[in-house]
Amino acid sequence: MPENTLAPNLAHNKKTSRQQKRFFWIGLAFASPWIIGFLLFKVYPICSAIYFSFTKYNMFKPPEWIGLDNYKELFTDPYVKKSFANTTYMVIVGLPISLSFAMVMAMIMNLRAKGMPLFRTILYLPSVVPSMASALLFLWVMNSRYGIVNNMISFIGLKGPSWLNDPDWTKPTLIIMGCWGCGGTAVIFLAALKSVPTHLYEAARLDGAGKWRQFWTITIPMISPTIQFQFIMGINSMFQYFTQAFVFNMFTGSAGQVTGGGPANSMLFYSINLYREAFDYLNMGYASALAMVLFIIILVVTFVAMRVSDRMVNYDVE
Amino acid sequence: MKKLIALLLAMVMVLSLAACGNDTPETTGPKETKPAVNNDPVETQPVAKEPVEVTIWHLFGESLENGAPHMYYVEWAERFNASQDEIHVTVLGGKSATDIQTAIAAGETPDIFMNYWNNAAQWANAGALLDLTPYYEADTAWNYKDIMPGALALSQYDGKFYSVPNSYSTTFMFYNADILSAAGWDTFPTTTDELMQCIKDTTVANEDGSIKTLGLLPNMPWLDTEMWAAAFNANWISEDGKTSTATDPANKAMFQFILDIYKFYEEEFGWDALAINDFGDTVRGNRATANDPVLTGEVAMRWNSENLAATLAVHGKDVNWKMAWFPNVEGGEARALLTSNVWQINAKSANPDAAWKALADLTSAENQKIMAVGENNNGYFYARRSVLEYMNDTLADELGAAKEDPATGAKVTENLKVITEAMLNGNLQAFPNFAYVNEYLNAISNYGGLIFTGDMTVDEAMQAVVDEIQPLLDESPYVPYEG
Amino acid sequence: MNKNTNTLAVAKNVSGSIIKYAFLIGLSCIFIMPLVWMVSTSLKPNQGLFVFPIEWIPKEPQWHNYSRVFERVDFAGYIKNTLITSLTPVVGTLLVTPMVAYSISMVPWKGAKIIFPIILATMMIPGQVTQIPMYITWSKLGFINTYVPLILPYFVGTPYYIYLMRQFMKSLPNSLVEAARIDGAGDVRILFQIIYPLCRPVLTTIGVLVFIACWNDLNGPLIYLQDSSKYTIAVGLKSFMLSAKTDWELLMAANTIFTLPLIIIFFLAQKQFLGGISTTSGLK
Repeated sequence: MPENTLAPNLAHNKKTSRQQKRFFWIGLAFASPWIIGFLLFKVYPICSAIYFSFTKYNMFKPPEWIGLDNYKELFTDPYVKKSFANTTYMVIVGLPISLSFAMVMAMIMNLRAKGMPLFRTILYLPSVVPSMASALLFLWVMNSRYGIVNNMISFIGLKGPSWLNDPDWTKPTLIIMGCWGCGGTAVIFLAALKSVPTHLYEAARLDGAGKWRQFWTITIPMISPTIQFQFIMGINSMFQYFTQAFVFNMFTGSAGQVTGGGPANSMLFYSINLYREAFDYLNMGYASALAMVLFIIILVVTFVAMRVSDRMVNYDVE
Repeated sequence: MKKLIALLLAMVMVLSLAACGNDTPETTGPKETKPAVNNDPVETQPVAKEPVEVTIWHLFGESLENGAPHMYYVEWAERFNASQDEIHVTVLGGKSATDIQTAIAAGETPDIFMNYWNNAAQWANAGALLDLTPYYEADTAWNYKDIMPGALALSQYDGKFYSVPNSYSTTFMFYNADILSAAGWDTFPTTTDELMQCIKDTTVANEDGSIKTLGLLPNMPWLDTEMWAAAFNANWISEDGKTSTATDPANKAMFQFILDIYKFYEEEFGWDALAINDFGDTVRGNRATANDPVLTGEVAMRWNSENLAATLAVHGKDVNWKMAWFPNVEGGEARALLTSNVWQINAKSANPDAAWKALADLTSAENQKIMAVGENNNGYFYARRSVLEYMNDTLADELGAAKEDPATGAKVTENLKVITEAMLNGNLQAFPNFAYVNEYLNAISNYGGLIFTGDMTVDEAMQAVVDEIQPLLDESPYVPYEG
Repeated sequence: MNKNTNTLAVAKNVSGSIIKYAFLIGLSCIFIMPLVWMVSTSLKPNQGLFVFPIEWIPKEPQWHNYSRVFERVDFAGYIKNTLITSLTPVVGTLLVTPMVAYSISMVPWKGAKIIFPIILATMMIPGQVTQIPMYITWSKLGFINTYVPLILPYFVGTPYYIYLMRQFMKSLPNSLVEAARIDGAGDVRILFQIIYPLCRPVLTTIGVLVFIACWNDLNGPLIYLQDSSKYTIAVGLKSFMLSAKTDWELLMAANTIFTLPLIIIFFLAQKQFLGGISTTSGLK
């Protein structure tokens, strides 16, 4: 992270230390709501989870200390392996696709055109549809026989894949679904695009830079903090990918069913497996260990991603 | 940055030790108070001035539309609250098993809750449920012997009763009689060989080669394999409860039969497992609606639980649909899968005796008879013998007679009699109720699915099931119910 | 490219805008189609999910599907409850988030560097595991079956929005705050009179996002609210789905009722939400 440049460059040591003290109290005061919230609502749950991860715990009986057994089991569990592979796919393939798509959408929303408010609303709409409803809609849209997508594909003489039954296509289906609903991300990109000073483009145009070059030399650097933000958040949410796959399960399965992983477990994501262990199998201790491992993975990946992207991010606009 | 992460981790660790050392055992351990169970627990409830509060959570939506389960429960609660002033019950619906787990892990609410059969043994094993055996034995007026033995088996774990059966459900073959007779089948097949032939005869392709009518959709989600297994006399756990029998010949024969159906579709029509699954989505999305595939003729026959009869009675007036028991397996007697959702009492309930009193009233023969009434009875069947008999003897005729159209009425009566007859006298088999039911069901559907997609042979898949489940059975064997 | 004559440029502009509009309309059609189908299904008689060919406009619209939904669930009560659980968090977030973000991005103190990674880290723990301990905490505090567990967390700052806010504040010119400090302005004044107005675009964005997130939140209300009189729309909808099961037309009607307010809010608020950004941001 870049050094904070706000520290006043005052020469007097005494004054500086008094300043520092003042800043300390001010900083603390402004951050205090979060600190209180953290102590009240985060510390206990997080510590419980850490403690549970070393126990055999089913939520009803008191936890029983078993040391590292959960962690040892985790590394040989085939479902963990499978779910980790599926999740990694979503991070490596799904995230760049959905971020790029959101970027393109934001640029479309940023076009000058009559009726733009209406177009923006339409493009943004899918992201406000509740996940239960949108999963239901996608069961229909992506149905290989009756779905509108495959009907359009067959219109040009090709045969569409069976999106939701073919293990090779289930994750791409989820990614497409993510793109359909990425209006939220696009709007944040749009806000960033809007804040890029137009005089920079004017200057570039005078220099003879084409649209493509303007995009890479002005737009991208200027909105890089937002891209970094979305990227970090994306890593976090993709590793915790849960809702859509869970809801698909709900609709294709029946009441009381053990949480499944889709065809050939192709939609068994890390969090789905974790949920299954915790709530279907009552292995809260093991699930907590899974959560801790996921936590560390996300922490490491986020750290690396921030480290790498910080060098590319331009915080100073002026 | 590195320092920060280290600092952060250290801080979390320190806090965790501080917090866990004091709080966790105290807050997450169950209460020490054991429910006071006397010889006659029902009578010992002290008469309090203020009525004791008992909350009941169930899994159905909170619809008050006529015939919805929630309506029955709410009406019952009104009757019960008015009938006495010791206990006041509140009924809340729309809960999921996870909601219930979360709530009871944290405290004493709810007192009574509904659960899926496959969670019964597992939750009992986990210590979430009150042992109801003393109440079962003491409450003679409630009379547990009236409950169907199969449902009792699902309510018992490790020799004790932890649940009270609510519904009683099994599966039938629903078929389109016009399609069968067009293919030369005036009656439903009575052997599995005949069934295979019937499937072959009724399967028809469109001119472009796509599926027009599928004889039978072999796999439906969730309990399909268990339905097949019951029909094929296949068991999942040995009689002594200690060994997984997934690799038994009957289990393999069952998977082979399903596989043969897939093979027929592939060899005869070129429809692979993926195409059949795609087609199956349609069935799932349209089931129990006006476009149910049995009504549209997209399938000649399909499995479903008995409650489909109530839907088809409404939407299928113009279609000649019928229901039948699964054909006999050679050398065996046809069986069907039994499922039953259950009521349970929270082990931490503050008023277990009051909770039992409410639950006993809710599940009495008298009240279940009231809940069985409704438009085509709404597809609800209850686990008491006396209630099933009442439906068979009296209610089936009454509900049929209430129909404006005599033909529809006759069909409603006939189907209700077929269903209750089968429930009373048919050979119904429940999945063995041991602590790892959910793990077992998941293993079966996981590896079973790989057989049909060609990723595993029947032998490999069943071996994989055994490998996954046997260690769990070793740890916690199944204790068979002895009625 | 730059050597185009005027007429060519005009022709290019015209064809360019035709392509632009064709593209926009095409894309909009794709995006809106599932929703149109949702509304269209909600107006049909009971039928399956998959019917071909699709009948986009029902011959006899079954408006009574909507009245059946209203009969079955107390939507007026749910909407009132949902407004409580959506609007109060918006107020809380808009108040607290800038404070915390200010502390970690504009006040030079040591804590900032400790707090920020912790804020990030707390986002990374899967919710399924903290769910039970969280529930126990709220239960001990006696707030089960109240709106407090749904609202209060927004008054202590939500990590995601703190991060969003911090990211925005970092892009503000440092000189602004420095100058104000040299002028002797207090930090409360700096934040609420200087920084706050500049943050209007990101604040609006956060406000709308919080509102939508709370409106759609299912998990929280589902476990913390127990009486149906306290249910929010999302919980009511889920409960309704359980009872409607295969009545797709009713499910779709319920979905339409659920989604419509959000669509209207976005349409009305988007001028604030998006359009006003470039003029109010002061970043030009």
